[in-house]
Amino acid sequence: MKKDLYDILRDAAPEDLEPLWDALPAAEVDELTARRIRERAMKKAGIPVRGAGRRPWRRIAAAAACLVLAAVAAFATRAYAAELREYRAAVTFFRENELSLEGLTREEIKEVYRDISAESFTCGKTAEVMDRSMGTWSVRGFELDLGDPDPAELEALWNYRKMNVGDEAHPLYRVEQDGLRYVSQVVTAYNGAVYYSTVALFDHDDVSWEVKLHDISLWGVFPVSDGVIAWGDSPYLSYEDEILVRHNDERAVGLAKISSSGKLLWKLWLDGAAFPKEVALAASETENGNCVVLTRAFDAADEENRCYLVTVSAEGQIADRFEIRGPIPIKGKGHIAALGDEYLIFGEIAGEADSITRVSRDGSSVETHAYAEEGLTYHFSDMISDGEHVWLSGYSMAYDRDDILGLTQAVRARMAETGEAVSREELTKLTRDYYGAVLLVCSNEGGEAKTVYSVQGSVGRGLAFGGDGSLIWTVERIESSEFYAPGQMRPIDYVFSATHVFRYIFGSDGSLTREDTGEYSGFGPSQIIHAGS
Amino acid sequence: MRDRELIELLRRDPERGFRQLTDQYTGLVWSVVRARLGEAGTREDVEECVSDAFAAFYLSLDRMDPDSGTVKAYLCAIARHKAIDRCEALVRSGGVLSLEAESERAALADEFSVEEAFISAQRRRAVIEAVAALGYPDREIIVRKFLLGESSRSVAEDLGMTVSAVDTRTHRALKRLRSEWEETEA
Repeated sequence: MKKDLYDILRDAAPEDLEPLWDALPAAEVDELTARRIRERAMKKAGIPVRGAGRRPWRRIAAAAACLVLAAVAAFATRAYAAELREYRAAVTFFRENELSLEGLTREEIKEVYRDISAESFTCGKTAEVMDRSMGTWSVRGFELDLGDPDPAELEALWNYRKMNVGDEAHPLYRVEQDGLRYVSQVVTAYNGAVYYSTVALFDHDDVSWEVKLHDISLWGVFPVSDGVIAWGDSPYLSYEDEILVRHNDERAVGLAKISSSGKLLWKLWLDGAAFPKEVALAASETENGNCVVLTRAFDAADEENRCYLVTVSAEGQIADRFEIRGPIPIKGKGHIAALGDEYLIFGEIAGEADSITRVSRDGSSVETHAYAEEGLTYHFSDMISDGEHVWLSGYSMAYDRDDILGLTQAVRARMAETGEAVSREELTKLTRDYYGAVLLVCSNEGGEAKTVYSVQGSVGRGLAFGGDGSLIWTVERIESSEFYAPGQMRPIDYVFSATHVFRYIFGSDGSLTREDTGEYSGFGPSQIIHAGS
Repeated sequence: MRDRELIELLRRDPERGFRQLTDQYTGLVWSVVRARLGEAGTREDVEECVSDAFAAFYLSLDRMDPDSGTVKAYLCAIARHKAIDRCEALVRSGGVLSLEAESERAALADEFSVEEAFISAQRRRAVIEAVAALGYPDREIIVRKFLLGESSRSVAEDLGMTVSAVDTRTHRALKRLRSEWEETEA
């Protein structure tokens, strides 16, 4: 017997339907109607209504009073209309931001709306609303102190939330340069179809400019001396005028250069591989102002992937193109940096330690080193070159390759041992013991990457150079973790962590300072899948 | 006010409890009833039905277990049932029932349907969680169309969208739910 969604929901228990009622906005019911409903309901329920059955003279007196009130009401109408406008705006705001209206009075809804809109975050109800709405938010593992909420913490959480609301906007890369941040993101529908990509320049929290690219699904950006270069592929699925379009055999690698003032200078499609569906794996600037793109295309005749190094000039012309004569061990997207006569390449490879590959500039020589130590596996996040050194950021995980289930296995073992769920505190400790942020350097001579700094309980993220020659390393400290075993809809267990973002600044004079950005972020399942799959 | 306090207040001082209950939930219950009744009922029918729902909730207060569900969940479920009953009563007394939502449902049946006589509570909850995880406005569209049986036209009017935009979003959301279901099955 067939059951559709209507049948499934119809037969559900009332308590199971709880999460769905939040989707429904509460209607605006005027006070007179609300009172009528209440009195009628009370009558039906057999509850006496105070004031019912008044004597006639009282009604006459009440009518007279009403006449006086009518005059007052005329003056009050304007105020009422303004109140109604604000209430409507507040309800719309709650709906658009997926905030829970549960248990709030009309006055409290407006109060929270005013508090968040003014960015003051001092109203007591705001923390409560944000806490109640957390379930639908992306910052898993984050716990607000409801007894004494910190406005700065609330604001940071709110800002994080703003980046993730609505259609699925994926902030991909945040590249910092001299206090400015280039942020690229891809806005997609739930099925992964791309609406468009954006590149934006932020000066602190203000957007200086934003450029929309409708035909490139971006993978990253990197700043150059006179602007920024964005790179990616033409999307496999996209929405054009609300119609789903599949670009099956037309995929290509795309680059766009945007000036420092936000003007699109050029867009370039790399075609030249002998095979269709060429995709970009990594891109970066080289020391002479050109940029290099690592691409991959599938040779159906030989059933082999072929990788290419394509150099593009600052003016957007293809300067040269070499096929790499050897395997490049990258599963998804990776990073590339110039070092001497070579390029260094790394990328994600599920279930194995990340490796660094050295390729000569003409692609003729290829050498790969897996990067692992006794009991530790490394995962890299970013790479940057100053011409003489290549700096690598990432994190180490305390698992060796025989124990591939990693952290989730440790959590499961602890639960089996004690027969109880692991507490948040204990899980956070386990997660902190498991991950450590690492900063490595690779010089022109010697070749081996060496760890120069590590921070236990954290994960290393983006790297950038400051205007004064300093190296800026973004590190996320694990604040609290949550074990998530969805079972039904996902095949594997996850650990989500809320992280606090810091910047470590290595000055050219040898100094080291740590800055608290006041921002929070999330460290989630993709990395755990990497560790456990 | 939190659920336990509200239930306690309803028991201790029903009049004050009712005031608090209706202050908090009249808007939501009205939305549930209006969506379910659709064009079959007038404003007076909605009003009557909403007050029926509050009265029924109060009368069944002793059966409610605050540990297994919230006031909102029980109240909305009661409101939905009251609206279904009233809809049937209106049709019996000569009212006109629009078949628009019914025919839309039939047309969409193949996009998400399960060939099973019995679906466990656990799997049903997984589907509900997946619907709850849809973003705005897809979650609202699915709830209104599939939980409350509202037509695309009525949803579109309310959300200020075109009917085709509502239908496109419905197709996409169902596709997503189906792929999550298949993933579970796999």
